[in-house]
Amino acid sequence: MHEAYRKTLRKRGITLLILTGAIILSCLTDFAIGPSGLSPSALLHTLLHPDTVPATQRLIVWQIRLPYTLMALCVGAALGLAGAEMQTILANPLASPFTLGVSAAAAFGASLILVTGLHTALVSQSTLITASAFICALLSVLLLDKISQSRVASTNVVVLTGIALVFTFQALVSLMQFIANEDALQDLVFWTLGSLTRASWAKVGVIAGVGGVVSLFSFRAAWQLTTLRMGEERAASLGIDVARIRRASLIRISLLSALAVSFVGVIGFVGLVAPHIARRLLGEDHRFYLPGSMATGALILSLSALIARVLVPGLIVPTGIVTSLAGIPFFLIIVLRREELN
Amino acid sequence: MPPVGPLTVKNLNAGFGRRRILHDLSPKPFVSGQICALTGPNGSGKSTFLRALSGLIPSQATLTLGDENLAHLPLAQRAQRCLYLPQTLPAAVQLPVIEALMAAQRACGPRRHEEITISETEHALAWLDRLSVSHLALKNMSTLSGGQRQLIGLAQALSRRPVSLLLDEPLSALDLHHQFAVMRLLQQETRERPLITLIVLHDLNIALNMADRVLLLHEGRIKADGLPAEVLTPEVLRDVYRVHAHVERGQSGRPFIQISGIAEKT
Repeated sequence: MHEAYRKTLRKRGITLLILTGAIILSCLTDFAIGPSGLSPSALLHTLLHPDTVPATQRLIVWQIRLPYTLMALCVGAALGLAGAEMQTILANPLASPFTLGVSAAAAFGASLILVTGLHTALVSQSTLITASAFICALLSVLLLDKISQSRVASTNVVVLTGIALVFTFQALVSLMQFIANEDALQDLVFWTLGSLTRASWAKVGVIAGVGGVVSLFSFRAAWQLTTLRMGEERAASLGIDVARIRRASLIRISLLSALAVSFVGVIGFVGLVAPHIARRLLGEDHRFYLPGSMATGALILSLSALIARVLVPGLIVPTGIVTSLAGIPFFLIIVLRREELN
Repeated sequence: MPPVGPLTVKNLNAGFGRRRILHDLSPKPFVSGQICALTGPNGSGKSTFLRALSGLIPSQATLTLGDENLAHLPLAQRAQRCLYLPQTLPAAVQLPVIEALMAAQRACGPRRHEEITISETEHALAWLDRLSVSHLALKNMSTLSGGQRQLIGLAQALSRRPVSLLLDEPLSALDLHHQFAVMRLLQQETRERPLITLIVLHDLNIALNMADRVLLLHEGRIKADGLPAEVLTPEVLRDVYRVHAHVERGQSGRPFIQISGIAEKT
């Protein structure tokens, strides 16, 4: 039996490796395809010897393509992790930053700063946008948590509250659009559609750094989260401070959602779909489930980014549109499979 | 491990909000090596009693284990000493049984030193073996029956090796064979470790034959506390459970309760 369990562990290790391989492949393809028609050898040359190529080529590779590709990875992983933790904490298979309105709340937070044009000498506007997105995301997550904790809360009540949040914040963002000036309006549209085209090295650095630290905290809580999955009372009876674990997790979810939204806008369904695939592939031992969901999220968004580039020739479609179109059928499957909801 | 204890409860009051469920309970100390069956009609406060002891709900009481005041301990340490097994079954998640047990071990951080000699997986497998369910080790919790999940929940609790086990209806989903097997294992563990075992039982015949002591609760108060045969008398059964009953002895000499009818409300 001991040996058989080792085999299970090995199988999971291989699954994670395959996922990583698929991510690398998807990234390479994503990186290699583009309207400028650079050949793979030219791309490689630009990567290895940036000083020897023309400035435009260098700019395309280093300032446009590479950040775009890496941003897809980082945001996908962040959303995958946020979704996985949310589904565990709320014990709800339909939970994700997008479906329960956390992303919409973050988008509203971002729009608030953008439209009011608020900025200070000490803090840049982009930092304020992220901070405001974080605060709104945190408030929405706290509300969802309160409701899922209350005695009347069934899965449906939480989901319906989430839908109410989505509508509320969408309406508020629309209001912001209505009162915004031309420049701010364009930015807002970008936010509501969700697009990777504004990726930059600074943003990639921030989300990779913060996301990396946040994920370490998640991994550290893996055993507790696994125990929590078996029931809140059971987790508490085994000595877990459930309130503290939930609180820490909610802050992580808000941070990840806020970063993703403030950098690339609202990207739907990655956070919902990735945990389900990871659960299927790796089970719910959070030592594997959390990194698995991150990897799956990264792969999904990387593939979506690729599709977004090739869908309409010569044009990069906002990635949020691709993930939504691909995610809706999946969403319906989860809803229709009743046993998961009960 | 040397015998620890006893578990002493003095002036225990507990409830939800304004509704008081337990009224000033001071049972005799619970000693190690003994199984105490907690019985009483529905809503008499049995689960609340165990939850209050484990610190899962707030209560007013003086709770000591040996010379240690339990109320002063953080939840994780308290659970190392008094482990409560809830009545609800572990959720049917996509988690192999062996990992469900490993998670229970790791819930409060790395295991204690004394147990680090054998690996986590071996420790988990050993407990599954003792409950005769080692064949389920790699099955997902989501594919198990209710009774099987109850056994896994019990294995989680036992494998944590607490000083005191507080079991809330651990037999409710089990068939006859497993009810008996689990009680026998609990007797064995209680004597050998030794453990302070408190167990909520609805089956009074099991309480009568397999417990060392019965604590009978009625409307949040102690109705009787003592040896099973002394507590479970026809008079008590009539007053508390409102049934006409008498205790008979079978061919093996074991007592059993025979119900003959419903007693009118007095």
